[in-house]
Amino acid sequence: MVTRVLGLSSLLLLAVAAYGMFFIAQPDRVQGDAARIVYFHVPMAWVAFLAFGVVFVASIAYLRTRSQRWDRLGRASAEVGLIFTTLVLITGSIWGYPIWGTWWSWDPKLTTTLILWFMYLAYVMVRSYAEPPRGPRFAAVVGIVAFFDVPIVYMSSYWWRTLHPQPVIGPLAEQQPSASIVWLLMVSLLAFTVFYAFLVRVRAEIEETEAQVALSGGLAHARA
Amino acid sequence: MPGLDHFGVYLVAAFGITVVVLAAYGLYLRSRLIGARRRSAASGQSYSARKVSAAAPIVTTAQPASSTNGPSTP
Repeated sequence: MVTRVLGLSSLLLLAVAAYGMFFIAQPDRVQGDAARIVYFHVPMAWVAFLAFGVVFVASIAYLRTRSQRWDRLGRASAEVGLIFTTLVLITGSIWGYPIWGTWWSWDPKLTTTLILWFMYLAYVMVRSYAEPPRGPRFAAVVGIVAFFDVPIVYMSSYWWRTLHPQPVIGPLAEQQPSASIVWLLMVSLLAFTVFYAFLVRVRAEIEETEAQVALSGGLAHARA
Repeated sequence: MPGLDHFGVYLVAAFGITVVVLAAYGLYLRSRLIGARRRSAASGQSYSARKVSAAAPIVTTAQPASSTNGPSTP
């Protein structure tokens, strides 16, 4: 029931955000319509950070309690976060080509984001290929270590000279954008956050159901 | 939206890729969930994992260490 509500509300919110992005938001004076990419590039980056924060908390909780629920939550969140980070890199690259004149630059923000992507790819691979109980344990360690790259990604545009624009919103933003931009960004951010929650719930349910099937199969095998 | 400028193609490309990737991932999850539920239902008919306490004890030939029959020879 909760999953269904999350799914439907995220679809509705995403539709509202898409409408606002195409029909309400005004094109930028310099960047033109390419600037509208920010309305889904930035929320997806936020969701990726949130996902890796959840992996961090779930990894610590798993190592403390060894509860499979935390392991399942961490695995689900890492996979969804990896999808969103992939989209952040792709959409950022598509924005960069007309604005910077290149698809990719070894800029600190881009490079640290790519490192983040590789670290969570490592998490998913370790969790998939290493057998339990070592797999969940090793993945939890990777999930804790990898999270330390998240603040580095966020702060990289302050710490180093970078092509990437400064944050457009939040306490560290140098210039607060107009109210309509903030409103639209908030709607989009909410939409992607609810969609993230929906995907993680579904992914964790798959893990739980498959674990039950495996347990059931193991018991049936032992009984035979 | 009406009359995107010359950068509009990049916006449409980025938006299109995002929609396609998220929709594909959503369909992949849906397919896996349906498969997992089907397998769970099939295995639940013969042996429910949720009702582990209802499972019959596993038959074993092992003797307890304190067996009065003495140590068993292999």
